[in-house]
Amino acid sequence: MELFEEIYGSYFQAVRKILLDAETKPLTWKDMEADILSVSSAESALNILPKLLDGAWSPLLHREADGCFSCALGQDQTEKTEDFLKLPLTKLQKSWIKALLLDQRFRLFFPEEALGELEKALEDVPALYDPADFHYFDRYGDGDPYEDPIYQNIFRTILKAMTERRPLFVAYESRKGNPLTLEVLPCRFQYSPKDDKFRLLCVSLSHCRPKQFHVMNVARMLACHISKNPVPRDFDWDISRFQRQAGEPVRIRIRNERNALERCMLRFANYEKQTVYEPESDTWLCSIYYDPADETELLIDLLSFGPVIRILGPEKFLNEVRRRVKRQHELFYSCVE
Amino acid sequence: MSDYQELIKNFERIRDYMRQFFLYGFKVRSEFGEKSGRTYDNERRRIESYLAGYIHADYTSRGKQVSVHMDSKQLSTNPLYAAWKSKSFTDNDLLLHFFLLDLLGNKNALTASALCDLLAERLETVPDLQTVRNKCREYERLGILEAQKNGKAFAYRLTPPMALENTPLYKDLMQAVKFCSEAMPFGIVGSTLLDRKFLHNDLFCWKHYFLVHTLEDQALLKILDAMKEHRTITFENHSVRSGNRTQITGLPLRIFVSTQTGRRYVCLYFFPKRRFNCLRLDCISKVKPLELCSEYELLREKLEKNLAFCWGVSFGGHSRMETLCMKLYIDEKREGHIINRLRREGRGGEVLKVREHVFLYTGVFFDANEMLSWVKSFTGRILDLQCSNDAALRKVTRDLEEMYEMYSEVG
Repeated sequence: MELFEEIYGSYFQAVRKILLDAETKPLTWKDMEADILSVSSAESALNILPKLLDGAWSPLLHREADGCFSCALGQDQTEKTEDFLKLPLTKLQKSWIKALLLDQRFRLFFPEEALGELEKALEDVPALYDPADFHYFDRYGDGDPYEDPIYQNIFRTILKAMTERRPLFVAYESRKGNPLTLEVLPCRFQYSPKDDKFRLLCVSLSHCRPKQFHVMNVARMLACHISKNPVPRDFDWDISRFQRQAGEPVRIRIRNERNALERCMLRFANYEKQTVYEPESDTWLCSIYYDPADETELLIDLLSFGPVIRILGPEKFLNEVRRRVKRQHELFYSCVE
Repeated sequence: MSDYQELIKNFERIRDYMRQFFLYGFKVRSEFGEKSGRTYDNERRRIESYLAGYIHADYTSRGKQVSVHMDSKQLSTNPLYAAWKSKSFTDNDLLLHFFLLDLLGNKNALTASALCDLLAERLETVPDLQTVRNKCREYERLGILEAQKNGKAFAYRLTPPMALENTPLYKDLMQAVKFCSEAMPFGIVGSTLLDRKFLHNDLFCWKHYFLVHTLEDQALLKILDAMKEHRTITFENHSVRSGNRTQITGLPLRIFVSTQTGRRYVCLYFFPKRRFNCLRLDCISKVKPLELCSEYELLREKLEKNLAFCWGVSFGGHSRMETLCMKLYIDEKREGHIINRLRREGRGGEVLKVREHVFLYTGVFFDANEMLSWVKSFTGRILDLQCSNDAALRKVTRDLEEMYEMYSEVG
């Protein structure tokens, strides 16, 4: 099977969007441009619009007297559905869903009977792959207990609250082992394949008003249920306002040895970064932008590269590196208490 | 650039450029040595278009430097999926696509010639019968159309929707797809499922998400197909270090994945050497299936037995098993999380408390060299290191010493 097929392409998607919208009401050039931009790039709009309006694809649209365009399709359909240009599911799509059924994380989303229904619907479909063919060799060993019924219930309750945009009461065990009870607005799940954990990004409520941003490990939740309290008016569910970046990036110098550059670029590919080559020293200067919550993790990862990279700053970060390196030297070569 | 097209015919064409822009983000035109400057300009323009909003351009003394800036923690979906959605097509492809959906929308079953007649009523230039027939066959192969024998010809109809699609369960399925389209292999397929319903992920975000590896998915799919059929494969391997391209043949048994870099490898059995070996998927292209292997299950079982001794992707050299012992200072009261780190990151190695605040980690693996980066991540608390591989021990000790000298320098 091929993944690279034109039917999945953004141009087909853009034209479908335009035709469906033009079926509801005639569209202006601007409306069509907005449709394209909602699913594709500005450059696509430059290519698609001339073809649709005056070019080879124009039989798909009718030009109305007022200069707007309506959809030329669907005239003969007796039982036209709202989305009559939606493709049937392809073999590729069905077999991918079938493969998901073998994965515990996918199964988390459904109660047993729903899984049975899905399995029955796809019984004749071969799975695209078998998750057992993958070996995640450096995944942490304390991932979430996806098969635990209590965990499953908690996950589904959060998902329901998040989908319906309702507050949740959560009983939670803090990192220090203290039990906490909070009413929160669940904004997003955060998943890490390395930790193999789901975390809930949420905002706690106090007297029905948003109070504080929290990141909670779902596996540390003891129980939760949906609250009947209303969501504060004008609450913004967008979490980007809570995502922080340290004031100053970590700056490192990468030596041209032991394939350090490629290893570094891959290892830190999940961070926003900027790299510049310095021909005089045959080294690369790289700035890594990070969330202060990830500072220790970044520090440990940088230390793991050893001397092929040199951490240059910021000063506070560098001082911590110096402290650890010095302490290590003392542990090896001096008497340390 | 009169021949520039935003869409592309061959995915391999953009795969390498996209990877290099994304990972390195600092190469200039003259550094893409393999292809012409024109090719560089075209690919750069495409990537700028697909990843608009994430592209930065800097002008350096060496020329314009284009880079991709994105923090995966702030993304809902992988922007590199745009490359998968950029396949070129002809005008006929697009017209036939929408007209076929329309003409067959009444649950009609029509032959290619009947479809041609109906198209003639709607189009000024009607595609010839063979073009319509080919399109119907192509869509049958994809699962969009079903063919039924109608006299001598085939009549085509749209594949009926799954009953599931009209139930509330499908809505729940799409919630799961929002997660799986980013977190599971071949997430791009999930992205096309969401496109089909004009949905986007509004429930999940990510940590440690390595976006670039979607570009290897077609090669991966071919390898997995061969694994399913127990076949050997041959492919082109492009060494990043040497730049050499070599043809390699082996039996694919498992896909190794690093969740810490996103890098994926195919683990192959090489018959002449009688050894397992892992090769990076991002270096592999032109995968072709070869003959069936009758010993497949046996070799896979053999590999399974070896997995517990692989720290990463190496099956070691001549010594086979290497032991690494690391004694660490950990304040039990204040640093319980470090003890947890040892246990969850130690890949089955033994963790023992030696005395108050002193813990001993012992791991037995094929290749201790692979463990050294992890060892260095404990810099500042290693009391003692012992390793049966002297060279590895010397290497890590020298590294720690060099770091001390490096960070002791003034300024």
